[in-house]
Amino acid sequence: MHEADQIARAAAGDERAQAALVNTHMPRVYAVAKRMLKDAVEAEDVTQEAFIRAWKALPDWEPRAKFSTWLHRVTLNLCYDRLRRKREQTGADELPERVDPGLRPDEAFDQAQKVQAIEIAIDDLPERQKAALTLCSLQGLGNKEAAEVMEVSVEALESLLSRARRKLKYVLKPEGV
Amino acid sequence: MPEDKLDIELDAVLARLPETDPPVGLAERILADAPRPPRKTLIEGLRSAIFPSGRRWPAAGALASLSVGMMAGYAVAQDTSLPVDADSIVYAALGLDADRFELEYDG
Repeated sequence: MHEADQIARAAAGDERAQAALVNTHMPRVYAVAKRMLKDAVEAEDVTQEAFIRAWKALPDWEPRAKFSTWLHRVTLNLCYDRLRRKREQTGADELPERVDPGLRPDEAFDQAQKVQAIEIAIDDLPERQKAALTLCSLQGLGNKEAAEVMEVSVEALESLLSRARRKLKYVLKPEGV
Repeated sequence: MPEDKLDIELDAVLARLPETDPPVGLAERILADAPRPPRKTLIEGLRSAIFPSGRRWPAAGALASLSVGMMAGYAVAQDTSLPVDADSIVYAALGLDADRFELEYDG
């Protein structure tokens, strides 16, 4: 079924079309929210909120962008809002970037430790770098679509991605340099 | 380690990051908030049955003609006040006087 047809049916209350939209997009939306917020409950709230906004938007939906792009953008903006509120509550201007010294790579690092170290390093990335990395490297979006989601140019996205990858590669360097 | 090897290793590690499965029941909760189709009145329901998707159902005309024909036929049949039996129709068709023929026949 074409996406526009599916959206029109979902807007009209067709339960099968609605279920198809949820099954297609919800796991990825949740994964992005979980990666950004590092909290399962908050990620669930954001996913539900993103779909509530989608249900409201569907009747007037105009296919200027792909539904997945629009939904990812809403999700990301909801995540930014929550992260901003958290920062205001804690008084921190920006979460500090750090690489856990306890997980500094060395010769003895096995694969599981590398995965764990990269998880921590991703969590510590600045928001926009984390978003770029999550969308492109983890969710498999193309640079163009990820740039649309983040409402930046492709060049800006590539710059964010490059900086994120540089920090992650640092974690993998055996000499830690 | 050369930069390109680090890139390959990073991609390999990123591919091994555990998948994030959504919690059980989240899809159902999302669908519970989904818009419902508007309730139809009796007339709207009848109209959508006869004209699905707003288009005229090709058999609707035939069905309407049949209904009108049956109604008319039923009304006409109700107006018939004289009892007609099959024998008298046959005798009349043969040019015989049915009442007289029956008397003669009966003796």
